[in-house]
Amino acid sequence: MDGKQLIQAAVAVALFLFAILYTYVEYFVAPLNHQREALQVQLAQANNEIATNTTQLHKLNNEEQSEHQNAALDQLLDRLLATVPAVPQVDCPSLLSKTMRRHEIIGSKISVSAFLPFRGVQEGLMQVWSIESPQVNPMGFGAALADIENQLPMAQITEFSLQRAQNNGPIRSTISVQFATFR
Amino acid sequence: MILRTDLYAAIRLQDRLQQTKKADQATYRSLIGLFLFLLVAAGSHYFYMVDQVNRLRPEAEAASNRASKIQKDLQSAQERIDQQHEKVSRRTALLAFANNRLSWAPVLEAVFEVTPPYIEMKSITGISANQESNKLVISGRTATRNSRLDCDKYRLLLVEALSRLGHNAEGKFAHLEEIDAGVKTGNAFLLTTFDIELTWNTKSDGR
Repeated sequence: MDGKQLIQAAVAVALFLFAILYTYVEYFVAPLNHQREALQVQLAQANNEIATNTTQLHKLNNEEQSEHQNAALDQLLDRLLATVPAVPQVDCPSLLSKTMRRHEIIGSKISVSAFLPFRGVQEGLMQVWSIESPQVNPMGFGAALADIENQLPMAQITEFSLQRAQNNGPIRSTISVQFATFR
Repeated sequence: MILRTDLYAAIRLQDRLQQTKKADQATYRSLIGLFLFLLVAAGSHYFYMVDQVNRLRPEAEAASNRASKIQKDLQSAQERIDQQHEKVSRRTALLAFANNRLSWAPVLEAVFEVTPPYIEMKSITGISANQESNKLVISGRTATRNSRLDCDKYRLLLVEALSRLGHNAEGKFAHLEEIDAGVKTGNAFLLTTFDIELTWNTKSDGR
């Protein structure tokens, strides 16, 4: 093999090796490498997500657990809600009328005067009931007021008045009481 | 005649040819060796890469599954917490309503307790707006030697009575008037009519 042939052979071998190497890298190594990189990214993302979500989950679980400690408040609320008339339109007039009669206040006129939203409670509704009595004595009126307030812890007397119309005339009274009710 | 004949020329030529052939064979063997070496190296590298991918794939799949499971747990926990927040805000509002309500019966009792016999009440009105600002208006009259002073004393008694109940009330006269012809019991007595307005705020009382 003379010098020229040697150079030709060397070039041919070099080209052959390059072709082999190119084919190997391009068609064998590169897809595997892409696949490996994609899997590594997927793994890193999943691990990140796991770490973040686990922390968040612990936080939420702790918050949930801490709320269980407020069971006493729930019981108190249940006891308060048990005092709310079940059917206000029916129960309120009879309850108020009975209370007034118990304190010798006869002839009271009871009517519902307004419906208001209950701030902060979506299903809540405030019913405002008026009690007008043509003749009361102040002590009986005070006792009736106390009775209403004791029977209905979820109600607020928003307005009341005691008024003597004329000298030695009867004392008239009005009471506005706001009931918390639930739809 | 001299004959110069290289008797070994053919032999030397054959030797050279054989040497060249041997060298070529060695070159080919080297090339084949190099090729085989490269083939083995590439194969090893390829199988190493395949092995890495095969190890990573189940690991990544397991991590993805775990992440999606935790994501589901997180979503359900978030839903529970949202419901809990709703429940807590409802409970807070309801308990605040019960806690902040003003009971008028003790107020009325305190008012009647401190009302002296020389005060005649004409009307009494109580208003509690939004469970915050409260107002009590007492209208009446008195006829004493110092009726105006007695009305003022009564106003102070009322403020004191409310403060005993924990209400930081302000009391003022909305109306105060001496009427000369009101009572015919002698010159020293004057009839005084009054409207006392007592106001207090339940929230500022810290209740």
